[in-house]
Amino acid sequence: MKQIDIWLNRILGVSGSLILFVLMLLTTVDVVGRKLDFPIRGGVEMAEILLAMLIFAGLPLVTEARQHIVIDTLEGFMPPALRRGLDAFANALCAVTMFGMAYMFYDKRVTRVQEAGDTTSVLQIDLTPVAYFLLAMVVVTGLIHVALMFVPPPAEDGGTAI
Amino acid sequence: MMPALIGFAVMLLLAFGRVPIALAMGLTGFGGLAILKGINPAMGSVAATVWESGFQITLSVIPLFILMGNFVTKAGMARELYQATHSFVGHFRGGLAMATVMACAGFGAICGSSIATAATMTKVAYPPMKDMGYSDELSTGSIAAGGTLGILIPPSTIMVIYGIMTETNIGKLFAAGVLPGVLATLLLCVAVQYICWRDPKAGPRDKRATWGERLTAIRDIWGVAVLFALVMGGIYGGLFTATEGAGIGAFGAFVFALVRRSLTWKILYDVLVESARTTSMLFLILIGALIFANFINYTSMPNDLKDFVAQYQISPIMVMIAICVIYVVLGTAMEELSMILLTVPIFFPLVVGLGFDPVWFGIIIVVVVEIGLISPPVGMNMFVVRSLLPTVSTATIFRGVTPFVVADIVRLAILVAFPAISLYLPALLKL
Repeated sequence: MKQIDIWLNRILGVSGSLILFVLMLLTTVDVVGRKLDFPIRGGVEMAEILLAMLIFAGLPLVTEARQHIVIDTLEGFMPPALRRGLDAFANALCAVTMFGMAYMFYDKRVTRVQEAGDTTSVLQIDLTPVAYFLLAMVVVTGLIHVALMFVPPPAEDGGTAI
Repeated sequence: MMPALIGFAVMLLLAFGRVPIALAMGLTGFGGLAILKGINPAMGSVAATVWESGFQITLSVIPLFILMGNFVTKAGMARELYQATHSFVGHFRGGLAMATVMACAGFGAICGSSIATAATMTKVAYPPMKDMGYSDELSTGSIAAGGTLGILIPPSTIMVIYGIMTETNIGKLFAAGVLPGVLATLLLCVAVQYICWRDPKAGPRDKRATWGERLTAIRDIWGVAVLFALVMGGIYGGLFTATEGAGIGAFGAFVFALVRRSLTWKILYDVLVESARTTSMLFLILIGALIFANFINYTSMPNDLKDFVAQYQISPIMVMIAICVIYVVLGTAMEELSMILLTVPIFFPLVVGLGFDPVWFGIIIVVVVEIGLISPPVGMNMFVVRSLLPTVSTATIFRGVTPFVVADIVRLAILVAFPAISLYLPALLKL
């Protein structure tokens, strides 16, 4: 279990950082290139695919690090056992939500992308593998929520980004 | 009205039961849509929201500005900013605290996060204030309050999120934040003066810097100036969009961090992973909020609220004041990002329907978030300062921020009374 956790973190962490770094370089080179009349062909659609992959590759990482924003205003008044119980329940519900979302996403989007053979307009990149990647990340996130049901919540809850 | 109220009740119940706010909103929104429109359209709507939030080039503004902020935080540019402001105002009473506020404003011009600004400034500005014998109340209060300028002075994460949720032009929002940012800096300095007037021992004078020292200090902040000019100049000079500016800014900040030798492979990796995680967290919230807003907009609630206001002939400005009061009260106890995401879908149609400018309302939203970040008992900026200074008690910080909260409320009143302060610059730049 521990080993899976470490490897998952490593693989997704490295892919997430690479994607973000490439997204940054791509945006910069694309803007500069356009000014110098050397636009990158299909730069925008590559950036869009990278963004989608970045968001979904990060989902398991945020979940595993328990960085989601949780309202904990009332928790000072709760006995620890209640908080622990609520947390397990919440994670169960999150797991169900993630699996539900994965199902909807598969049923309404992934299959359609696959059947229609959707590609990007300029570079004709096949979107099917991308759709499956996003789907896989949602499923992995659901599995992490299942695992978190058995881990007590940390004393302090995750942070915010503002 | 009823379905929306039930929706809110369910969502809050889930959120207070430790379900992450993003999922509480998404789940309730989906449930509501499924009941009102049927399960199949609801599923389609969720799948579309999930897919389309990922594939929108304009949304890459979020990870790129976050990345820029994390790079400048690591690049150590805050130190030079503080030295420069210190050399100009350090010899006044409370001068180091004013220098802190001004350096925060400067840092806010290259960083879009309040939390990051407060954290960075704690490390830079607290030790010199401690050495000069400043009271912990004044030093921590000025850092926590100054840190909130990070989201008012462009770039700003919260403006980007507001802009995406309400389809308001992000470039306009950024421009609208500049003058209120200057006003905020002034008012926070007034608060410092008030504190030192009440207790002269709280903020002793430092020796006056010579003009030679000042010029040297000014020269050292060229990095910050270049980065700000590059990003904002590029956006407003029409060279590139806000999204592209974010990419250029992140790259520029990366180059600065590299040149200043503040990057090791480990630090680079940490910055990237942290930014990736924050991005995912924000997008999940955004997706949840969009699904929830879909549901709320499908109910009669937005119209019912407008009818209510029309029926009782409540004047628009009274509605606005009521909204501000609700925000200030909610902000004391709630996490600010969730507060905004929950309330904007309801308030925004109402406010715009009453004839207010969406850009101006965006600035008001940012200011109430700032107040929330430093109002006890739940204020993220105070917690950030506290976590970095284990020797200072939470009660001390609470006492320290109080005069600054008052200054912020005065600013909110001024900005509500004079929308021109926010709207002058966007109009001048013909955005």
